[in-house]
Amino acid sequence: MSLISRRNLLIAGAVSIAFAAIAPAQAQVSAATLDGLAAQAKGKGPVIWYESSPADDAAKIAAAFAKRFPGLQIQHVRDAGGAGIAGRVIQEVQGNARTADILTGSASVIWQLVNRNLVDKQDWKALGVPGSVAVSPFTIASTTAVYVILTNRQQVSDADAPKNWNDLLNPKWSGKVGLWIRAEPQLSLAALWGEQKTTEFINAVNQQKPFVFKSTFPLAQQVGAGEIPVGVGLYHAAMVPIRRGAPIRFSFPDPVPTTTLHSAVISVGKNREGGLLLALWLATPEGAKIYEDATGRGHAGVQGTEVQKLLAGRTLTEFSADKVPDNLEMFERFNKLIAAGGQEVK
Amino acid sequence: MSAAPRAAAVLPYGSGGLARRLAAAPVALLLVYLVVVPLVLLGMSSVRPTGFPLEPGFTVANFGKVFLADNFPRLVWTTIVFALGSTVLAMVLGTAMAWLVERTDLPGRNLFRVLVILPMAAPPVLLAIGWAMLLSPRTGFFNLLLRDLFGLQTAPFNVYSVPGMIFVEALALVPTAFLFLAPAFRNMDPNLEDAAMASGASTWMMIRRVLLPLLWPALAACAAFLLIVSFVVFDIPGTLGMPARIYVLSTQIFYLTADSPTGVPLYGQVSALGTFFLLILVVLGYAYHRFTRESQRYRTISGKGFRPRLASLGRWRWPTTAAVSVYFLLAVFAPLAILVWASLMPYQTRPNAASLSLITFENHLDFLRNARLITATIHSLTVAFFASTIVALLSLIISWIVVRQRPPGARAIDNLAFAPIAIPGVMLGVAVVYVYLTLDFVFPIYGTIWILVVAYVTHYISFGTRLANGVMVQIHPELEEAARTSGAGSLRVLARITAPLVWPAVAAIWIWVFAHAMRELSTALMLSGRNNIVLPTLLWDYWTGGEPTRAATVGVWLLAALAVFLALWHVLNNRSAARRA
Repeated sequence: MSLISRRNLLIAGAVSIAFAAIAPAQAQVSAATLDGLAAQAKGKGPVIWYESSPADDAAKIAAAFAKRFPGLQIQHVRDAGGAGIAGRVIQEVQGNARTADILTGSASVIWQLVNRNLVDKQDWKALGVPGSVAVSPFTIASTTAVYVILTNRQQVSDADAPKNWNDLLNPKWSGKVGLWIRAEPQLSLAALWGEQKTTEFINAVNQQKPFVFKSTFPLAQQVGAGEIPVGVGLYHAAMVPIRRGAPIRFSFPDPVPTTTLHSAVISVGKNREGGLLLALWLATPEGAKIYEDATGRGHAGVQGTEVQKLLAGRTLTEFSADKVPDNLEMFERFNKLIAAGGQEVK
Repeated sequence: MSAAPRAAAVLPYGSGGLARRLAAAPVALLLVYLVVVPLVLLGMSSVRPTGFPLEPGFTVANFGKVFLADNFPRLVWTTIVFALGSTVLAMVLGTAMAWLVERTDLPGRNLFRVLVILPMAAPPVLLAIGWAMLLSPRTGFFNLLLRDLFGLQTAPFNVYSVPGMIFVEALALVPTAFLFLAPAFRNMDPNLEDAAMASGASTWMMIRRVLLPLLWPALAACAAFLLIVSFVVFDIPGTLGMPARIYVLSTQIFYLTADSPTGVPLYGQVSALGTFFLLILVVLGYAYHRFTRESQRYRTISGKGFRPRLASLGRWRWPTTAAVSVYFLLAVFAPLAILVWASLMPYQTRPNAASLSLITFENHLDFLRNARLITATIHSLTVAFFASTIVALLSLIISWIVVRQRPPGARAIDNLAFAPIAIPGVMLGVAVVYVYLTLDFVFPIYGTIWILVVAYVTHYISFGTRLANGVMVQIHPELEEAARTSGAGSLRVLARITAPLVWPAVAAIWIWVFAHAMRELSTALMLSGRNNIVLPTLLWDYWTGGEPTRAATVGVWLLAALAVFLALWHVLNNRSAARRA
């Protein structure tokens, strides 16, 4: 069992909430399948990819893809907001304009397109993808966002640094904690804790008067700059300032919430074969490594990635992609709680 | 003395012959296309269940969700306090600066004239980050300095507050206020002031009875403009308010658009909020017209020649210079210096002796090596050049029609030109996307830089026309009448008489739009596609990608480029003035 410990599975099973979005087995897509798709994709124009990575990072992935599949180019369109990416596809479809061939984002975003019949259904098994990587016919796991607790090394000693969720509730951190405005980590915690406990936790954190950030990248930067000594952020976002020398330490809480980002092939895309090829390639060891090297965000379902090694033996929690539609309302409630600072908003 | 109105000088709204109507028709049609079509889409979006204007269904639920929400009254109150506070402070500073630079013998005023508009080149997001680094309660440079100097227990300033947001927003608006008011001060005939003083009026009476009434159109136009801008502005409340959970209407729109919990933007609620902005515009637009209705009374440029004379500051000359210098040091140089500092750091850190060892030019070298930068720079310059040129010319023509020609529907044309200011950039971007996706077979500009030009022209025409109107009403029509009497046609009068007289205002419009187009972010993000990357979206890439030091580097280069541009413009302007003299 390479990724999820026996304890993890026991916990996930015991709470009977959908878990294990992260696969213990990786995609076994054959080279013949990939090359066959590449041949079909050629001559249909560039593969248009809507995704959230910075353009410089995406350019590295595009270069590797073009090298692996000569004659095929990726045109990457970034939407860092997340929510806007589905809106863009819907608008372009309504205007009969060229839209994405493949979209990579959170399941909640992709489901908006599934509900509008804008995502191709795939027979992932026939393509060599195990069900644990592609739990729904519409999506395939592409990468894993991992949430960690960040602290400023110069302002907080090792001994004082909060290492777990309850540590954040210590009054000494009042007004000194940073959160992402989107309740993605809280939603993943709810997979294990349940909605009530998670709501109580959000309200307790709100009593600490935390700062909220539009993105976890500035959040990590502000921890590094000392603006906020403590934050709950994404591992790969924290690695950007850490690699540049910022005094940030991170610790994995227990459990570790994760958000799997999925890829979906857009049904009205001009080069759907190219989109499917990219989605499959990102789930192979080669594609996953290139993606992780470029963006710092690894695929927990693929052997050999850094994130897979980091998470080994830890308790992970996340709703699987097919359960996300059932939890959208809870996600909305969590988001409103965070945005309102603990006050319920209609 | 030409302040007294002449009844026949200006035709009332609605009068005029066929020629006037024909001249106004193309402009009216263009404005309908640029402004009404997006507004219609905004309205459609607000009553669609999904918020997507081209999807079926009808609902008023979006209005209920927005206006009946528990937090709505607090949201509106915070917005009003923020907008009014920013406007008042910006007006006070901008008016003082315009008067000192244009009408007094302040030493170094030519330098100050350039410096005062320099912050306009910095994207507001970067200014907000700069001020956070200066006034953050924990790590702010000034706070730490004051705590060390005076042994304070707590930080004296907190930029993450409504007063902090007002302060930074006001400083960001001062260049706009200056550009509005400087031409009005410059175009004032000092003979009026002399006449008042010669008649025994005190200085205060002269200011109250002569100066303020003469400036009233420009002051009112400027205040109305700044107030609306403060209502819709996102960058500074988004950067300083949102982390502390202080929301204004614009940040609520951003939240509903970019951080929607459902996974798609809640355009329906965004559009419903947009209608609230339009309501505010109607009220402010009405107030604006009331303020400027009698504006022809205050014309000061006539056929009689005059040279604006400078008031002597006397013994206040050097204290005033010191005060202005301190203002520039704190309000302009400090945030810009902190950006330069950030651009030299490997990661965001506060300035102190220990951090000096971290200084690196890697961000700048990387910036110059980045191939995307060249593309983004070319795109930004192209977009800014075309948008500013079109807005300047169009504003001149619209103001000429509205203030001088006054054909039937002139007021409607003026209102149309004013309306886009109330459309939040995010919403304008969405509407423009729909327009050009629908018309892709006629105008295939979706995903190109030209869609940015169209959006910016729409967005900035309100500023251009307000500024041009404010100056146009100060110019007495007797010069134009004289030209017409000599046989010149309307267009010839515009080209040979009116345009040269309003040239300072046109130049100010061009510069303002150029600088703002170079830094505009929210609309550019909504319209970004495969082939239209510009410098602000590149900067945003760095910022959201966790690299504020690289974002600061883009800001520093933007500032440097604009500083060179402003200096060149200033030199050319001075030479031109010298030749004219």
